[in-house]
Amino acid sequence: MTEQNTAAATKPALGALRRIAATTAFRLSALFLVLFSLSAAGFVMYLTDYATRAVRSQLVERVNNDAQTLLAIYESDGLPALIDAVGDRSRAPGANLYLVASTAGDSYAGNIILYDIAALTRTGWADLEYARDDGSIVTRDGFARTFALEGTFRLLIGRDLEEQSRLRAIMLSAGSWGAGGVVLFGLIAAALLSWRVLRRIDTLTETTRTIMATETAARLPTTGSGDELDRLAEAVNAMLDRIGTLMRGLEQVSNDIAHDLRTPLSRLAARTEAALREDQDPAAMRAALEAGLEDTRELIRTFEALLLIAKAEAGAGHHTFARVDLALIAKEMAELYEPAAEDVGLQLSVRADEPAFVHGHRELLARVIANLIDNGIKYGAQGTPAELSVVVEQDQGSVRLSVTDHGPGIPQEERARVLARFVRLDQSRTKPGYGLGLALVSAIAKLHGADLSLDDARPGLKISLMFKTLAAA
Amino acid sequence: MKVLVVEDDREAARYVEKGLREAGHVVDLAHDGEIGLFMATTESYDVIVLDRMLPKRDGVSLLKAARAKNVGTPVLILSALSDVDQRVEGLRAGGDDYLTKPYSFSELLARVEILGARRSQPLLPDTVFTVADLKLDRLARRVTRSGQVIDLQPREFRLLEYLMRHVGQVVTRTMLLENVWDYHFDPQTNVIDVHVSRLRAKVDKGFEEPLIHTVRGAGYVVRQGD
Repeated sequence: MTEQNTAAATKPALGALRRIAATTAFRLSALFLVLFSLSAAGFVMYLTDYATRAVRSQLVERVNNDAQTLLAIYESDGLPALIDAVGDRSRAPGANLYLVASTAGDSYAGNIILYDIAALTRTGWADLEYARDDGSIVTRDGFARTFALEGTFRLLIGRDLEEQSRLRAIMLSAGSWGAGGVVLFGLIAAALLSWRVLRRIDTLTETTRTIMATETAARLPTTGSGDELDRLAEAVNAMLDRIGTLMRGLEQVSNDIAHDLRTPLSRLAARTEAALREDQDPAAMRAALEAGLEDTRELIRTFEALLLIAKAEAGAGHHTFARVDLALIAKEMAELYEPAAEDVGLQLSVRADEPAFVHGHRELLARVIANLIDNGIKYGAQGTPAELSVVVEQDQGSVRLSVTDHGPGIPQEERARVLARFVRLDQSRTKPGYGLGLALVSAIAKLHGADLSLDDARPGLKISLMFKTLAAA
Repeated sequence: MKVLVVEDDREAARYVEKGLREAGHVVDLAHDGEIGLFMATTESYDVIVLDRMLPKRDGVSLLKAARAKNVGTPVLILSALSDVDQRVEGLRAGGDDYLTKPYSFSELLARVEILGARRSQPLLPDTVFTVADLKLDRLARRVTRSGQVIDLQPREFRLLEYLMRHVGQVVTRTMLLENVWDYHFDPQTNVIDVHVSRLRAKVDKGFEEPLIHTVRGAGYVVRQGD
């Protein structure tokens, strides 16, 4: 492998490490590791110190006990007996350090050679360097207590410190290795954890990018563990669904506008063109202009209805909702449409005796009822009986508004389709109107949180809206 | 009638100006909110037609400023915002009527003339309206024609009252729905026409001279003679 190749190969690896090191999980873990290492080091030091001292005090006790016995021998039997006793003890395995000597350094009994006889001139505890009295030249550390005997004689009883320092070394090294291991383990765990989190976040990021780029139907993956990333992914997915719905709505609106405005616009253009082209008399020109004006008005109405549907579906107007009496609105609308219904031989009846308060928008609700009645007049005129009824009734915490005609009705399988914008069943193509009535009703019902249902009135159509009752204020 | 039209779309403004002139009114034009406010506060007008969206100062702000300077001229607000709530906001700012774009000129003219006439009306509303031999008594809730009592439904009474209050002035179908029924949407079908023809059947039928007239492409008018 060439140098460049190596560099190229290490770069992504370095990059990945850098990205892991940049994660919050890793940084937090690292911070905790530093804190933990500091406290672990402190703990090891304390433990070592404590153990060393414990061992030392044990040694001191042993030396003291030994000294007590020897001094008792000295007290009762004199210096020679002490020298004998020290001589015996010096040779026992694992013996303390002993020395009976004069301050001048002359040794009479014992098992050590002192490097510095200053230890003999003072009494009490002192650390000392010594060599074993067996010809070895190894310098050792120890500590000993010096007792003054008669004359310049001194008794020195001590203990080797080798054991203690070894223990200390072992403890320090064990502690360091242990702490080091924990830190290493922690680092690896942090890296793994960060890598895991990073991998999931990378997946989420990647999916989000894909969604942004093309695949709007894609959704963020969840592990099903219900952890915080899952919850985030679920929330984002819900948001994507909502955005999808809105986008489809927008798409629908554009399609609808294209569909329903293009036809009358082309008609208007054609009509105007024809009027201009042909050499017509003023009366025919005027007729063409009037027809054009009517087309324009129809276009404006369609346009406004579309806008209103879009607004209602986007939830606009909700903030101006107030307590309104649906029964009163129904009565007023029925009163408004009654003559028009009678004109086509339809008996319009209204039953809305009790006030029925709902939380809503008076104008929008009036449009709903107006549209339903208008629809009923259009399709129920040839019905048997030729009746159109508007009913507002209270029913267990809800207010039901229903408009029933006895016209041809809508086949079960086509009812959902009817609510979609612009869909008009084929047999109604010849009737005036622009297919927006029920779509508008549906949008306004949704804005009010009302359930809309279409039922068979055998024969005919019954359209019901269920609103939540508003408690009388 | 002297009308101020504050509208930044010059073509639309010219078209309104031309229409109002043809209907016999004097028209001043302003193309932005600042000039509009200056003209509204320094000149005396019978009606101001005010576009809602204007450069330099928007319509609602202009209206508030003018009202603050005690300009009591009736104002018709024109707006592309068709929301009922926008309408309420416009009226709350001191507007007297609200018309959504796109509108037909006949609708605009009818509303301007009604607003302008409101100024010259006496402060106390009449209790009895009389047109030719037709008489409407608001307090007694009684309508007679040539002394003969005409029996009207409450809504028919209010419809006739509105028409007679604006005798000689064209009222549109939308204006009737707004003022007689207090709803602000385009009824789309002929509902209002049917109400008017029912009223006409009671008021005009059997009498030599019809008083309720249809104005083609605009609405209705109650007047004597043709």
